[in-house]
Formats: sequence, structure tokens, C-alpha cells
Amino acid sequence: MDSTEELINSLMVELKRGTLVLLVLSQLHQPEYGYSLIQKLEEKNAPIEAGTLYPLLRRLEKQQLLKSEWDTTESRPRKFYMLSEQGKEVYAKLKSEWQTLSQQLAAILMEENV
Amino acid sequence: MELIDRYVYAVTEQLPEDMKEDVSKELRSNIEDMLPEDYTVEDVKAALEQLGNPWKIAEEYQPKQRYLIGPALYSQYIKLLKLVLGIVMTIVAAITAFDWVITPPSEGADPSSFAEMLVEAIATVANGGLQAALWVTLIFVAIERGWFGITRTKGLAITDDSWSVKDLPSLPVQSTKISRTGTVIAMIAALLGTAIIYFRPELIGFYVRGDNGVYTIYSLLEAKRLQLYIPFILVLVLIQMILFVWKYIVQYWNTRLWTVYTLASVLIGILLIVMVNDTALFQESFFIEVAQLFDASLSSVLKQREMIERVIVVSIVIITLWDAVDSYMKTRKVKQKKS
Repeated sequence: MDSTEELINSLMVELKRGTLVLLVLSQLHQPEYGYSLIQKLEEKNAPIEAGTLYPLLRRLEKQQLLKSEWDTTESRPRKFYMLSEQGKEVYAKLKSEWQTLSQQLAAILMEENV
Repeated sequence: MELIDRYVYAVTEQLPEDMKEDVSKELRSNIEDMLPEDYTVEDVKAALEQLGNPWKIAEEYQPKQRYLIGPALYSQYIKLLKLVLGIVMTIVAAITAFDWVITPPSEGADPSSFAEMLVEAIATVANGGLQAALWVTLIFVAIERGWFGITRTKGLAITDDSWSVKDLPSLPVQSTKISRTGTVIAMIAALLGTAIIYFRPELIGFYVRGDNGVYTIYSLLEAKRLQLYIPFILVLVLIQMILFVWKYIVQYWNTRLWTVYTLASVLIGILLIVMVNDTALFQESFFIEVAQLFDASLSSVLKQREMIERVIVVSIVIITLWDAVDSYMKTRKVKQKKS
């Protein structure tokens, strides 16, 4: 029974991993820093691990989907991330792809219930 | 707080210099965000444990390719490594053994000197093997990094990711496929030749068996003068090795392979022509001995030698040209098949 559980867990991780980029992009229409983004996603019941998020933000920045800026006005300097123009475009496209995909999947899974 | 410092250090230790500082700063500020005001050591411990294994995070940050030879090339790498190792070690062993036959350890010699020679021979063979392994590995690393313009995917001859049905290899047709046997034989010949020139140039010559059963070698090449050419020879052999591996993997001609191949053969041709025309490279004693052996005068032997030189030069030019044209035709044939 344990191995089934393990298998489900690892498959869940894979499923979630695919949606991670979309999730992060969706929250960055306004600037956020690492920890604020974690909290925001937690509030929305879509928690993400900090150890996964921070490197991901950096990767997305390198792919030029995000732009970043250090804010040094507060007591603690923070790096803020926000969608770039290209990021907005990619996000819009990914979003519509995801909607199509989830509708298709929902329809297929419904069939089975009948 | 020392714990935070240590955690940040663990994450960023292996990162490239240009991102280290920024990642450290960001990570530190993120960790501090997780802590309440006036935090205690316990708070820090809890926050860091929540953040998770620092080495895993480091791996997520790492932008570099973290393998030398990827799965697409791995099996071919192992195969070629075994092949080249086998060839090189056999050649080195054969030359050493040949050496013993020509100049056998004198009878009644101290048995310990025999053991010494054996140890030396084994060391020579092992050294040759190590060299071969090193170079094959370096060539594969270069291929993996795309330095030869071929991708890491199975379709090694395709230079970008877009492939279409026409890129599928045609079923083996002997006329266009690069023969692997031919490649291996050429590699053996090249390595054997180089090994002799590098380790034992004096073995090239002719052998006269004396009354006591020991051979006298009249060497053709002047070892000192040959030293001048050794670097060029080694560089060209290395290029040849690269070409062997490349041909072995790709199996079909493509334009880039043809260009490098032709360039290399032209260079080899030039080097050979220069060497043949360099009179200082050949030992006079060789020709004197030849003259004696055939009961001819030295001047007639030297005249013959000039003739032979010319024949060699012409053959080198013809062979190089023919090889270039032949491989070019094959390259075109492969292209036509695809379009």
C-alpha cells in the first residue's frame, strides 16, 4: 500500500510542477518579492515551497519573462519581480492553452462518471 | 545570525561568481522575511528547516550543464572508449614486443633486469591506454557541448531541433554510409604509424640479420630532424582522432564533416610532401647501405631516390584529391536522398 502512496505522491508532484510557472506568472502583474509571493499563494490555497519558488523566479527572469528590481528604501533590501512585456504575452498564451487543456480533460473525465 | 550565514553559504557555495552575491542577498532577505521580529535561534531553525535541503535548492539555482557526457552519447562513448583503448594498448604492446625480438635481452642477463623491462613495458602500455582514454573522453565532451555543430539528440547529423520525416536516415546503402570497419582500420593504421614514429622511429628502415642472429637496423629517418615534425604530426593525429569519432557516430557524410575532413587531409598531404622533400630528414647511412646491398653506386641510388620522391609527391596529391572528390560525391548523395 505504501508504494501506491509513494507513486501517487510523485505523480502529484509532477502534475503540480507543470502548473507552477503559470501559477507564478499569474501573480506577478504587480511587483512581489519572494516571501510576499509565498504568502500570497498560501492565502489562495496554492502553497508553493520556498526552495522551489526562489530559484524558479530567477530562471524566469533569465528567460526574460520577469524583470526585477532591488528595493532598498525599506530597512531590509528586497528583490521585487514583475512580469515583463514578453512575460505578459507568454502568460496570456499559456493561460488560454491551460483553459483549453483543462476543459478537454474535464470533459474526458466526466465521460467516465456517466 | 551564524545559522543563516551557514545556510546561505551552503546554497551559494557552488554557484558561478556572477550570481553568487545576488542570490545570497535575496535568499538572506527572504529568510529574514520568514522570521518574526526579535527572533530566537529556535525561530531560525524552524524557518531554515521549512526552507528545506540547501543542496537541493543549490541544484535548482545551478545554471550550468551538470554532466560531461549525456545519455544520448553515453553508450557510444563507452563503445568507442573500449575500441580505442583496445587498439592503442595492442599497438603499444606490439611495438614493445617487437623491440624485444629485435634486441632480445642478452642471454645470461640478470633476471631482475628482465623483470624491470617487463614492468616498464606494462607501464608503457598502461600509459598509452590512459592517453587514449583521456582524448576520447575530451572529444566526446566537446561533441556533447555542441562544438562540432551536432546536437545531442539521436539524429546527430541534424544541426537544429526541427526535424522532418525527410531527416530520417535512409536504410543502410553501402555507397553513402561511412563504413565503420573502414573507419576502424584507418584509425588503427594512423595510430600504429604515429606510435612508431613517436616511440621508435629508428625501427623504420631495413634489417640485416647478423651472424649471431641479432639484427642490425639501418634506420631511414634522422631522429633529431624528426623531432621538428612531431608536434605537427601529433596535432594532425588528434584531428584525425576527432574525425574518426565523428564519422563513427554520424555514419553519413555531411557538409561540415566533409569540410573538416578535406581540410585535414590537405594539411596531412602538405606535411608529408614537406617531409619527403626534406633531405635532412633521411639518414645518409641508409642510402649507403642500400647502395652496397644492391651493388650500385651511391649516386645512382640517390638519383633513384629523387624519382621515388616525385612519385610519392604525385601520389599524395592524387590520393588527396581523389579522396576529397569521392567524399564530396557521397556528401551530395546523402543530401539528395533527403530532399
